[in-house]
Amino acid sequence: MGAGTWPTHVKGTMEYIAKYVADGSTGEFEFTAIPQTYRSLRIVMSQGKRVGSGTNVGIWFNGDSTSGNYGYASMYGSGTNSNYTYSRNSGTISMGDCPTGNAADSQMWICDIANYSNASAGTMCQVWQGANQQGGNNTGLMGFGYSVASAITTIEINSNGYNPGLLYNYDTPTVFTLFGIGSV
Amino acid sequence: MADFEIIAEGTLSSGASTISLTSIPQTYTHLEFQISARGSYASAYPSSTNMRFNSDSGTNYGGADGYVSSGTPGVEGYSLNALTQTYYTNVLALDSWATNIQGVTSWIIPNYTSTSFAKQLFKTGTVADTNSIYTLRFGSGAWDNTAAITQIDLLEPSAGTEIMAQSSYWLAGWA
Repeated sequence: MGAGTWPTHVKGTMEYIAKYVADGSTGEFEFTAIPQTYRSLRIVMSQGKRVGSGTNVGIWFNGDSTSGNYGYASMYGSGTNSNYTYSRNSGTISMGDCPTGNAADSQMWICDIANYSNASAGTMCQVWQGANQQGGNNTGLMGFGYSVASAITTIEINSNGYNPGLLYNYDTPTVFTLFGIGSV
Repeated sequence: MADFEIIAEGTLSSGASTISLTSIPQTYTHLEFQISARGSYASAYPSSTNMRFNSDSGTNYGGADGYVSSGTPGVEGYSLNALTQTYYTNVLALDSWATNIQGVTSWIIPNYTSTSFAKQLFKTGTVADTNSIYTLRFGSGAWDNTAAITQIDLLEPSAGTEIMAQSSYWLAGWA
């Protein structure tokens, strides 16, 4: 134990909170009234598909899509190319491109959102993403920061993060599952 | 035993020079750790905390690291038995940055109870500050020792500095 005062350890687990199963009818949805009782959150998107082609999937916290409130750094590979990027003025958390069309195509990602219930700190999250799209593959490792000090109570997942007015509905069998880890 | 179980967790109410996770149960297959933290180290770059296993301060550690920092990519590597602690294992926001930013790091230590093989860890860490710089790191760490891991010490960013208040962590075991 270091110089700090740590609370008594409480044994917990990773707990299912909510799930959204896509049916092709909508391109945006929210996890609302997120319990503030966990230490961190984990979202898993599996077998992601969209009805139509759009730009990258986007996530917002607490309904805030203000440009400049999100910053990021990412490394990614697409086909035989690799690259990196960063921005200080994003208005969304980009989860990469989600495929449409081919039956064999899909995207998956895991997003960890740390210390989300601390109202006096911003929120950092990490994303591990991969997709098979039209016979090609892409993958990325990304870190995002939400610079507004607030507890995260709502997470919106939009199928078109850079232009939320245009939606490309999530198709079956896309599933988004939200977990809570530990307890505060 | 649950499939995924929290072994230890906490939020720092005041600064700490070291976080020690002791008496780690030997009943799981893998360990996973996450920390969201700031460090009091003064630098132009994000701070970091490294770690030691079982209080071993010998030159028995190594690792490799790839990164993007403010749009500049790079790689770093240290051979096994080159370091006295793991390298850049946790990414921390600096005290001089906006007060509402923490860095987040996740790592996994597979087969930590093995008494036949040296230990490896895989980690990813990131911090993004709208007023400063953006860093994303991924890499590996190694401990050249076949002992089962029973203790993990997260060390201060630099001598005389601290892992700062409100830093939050959890350690979990996978079945």
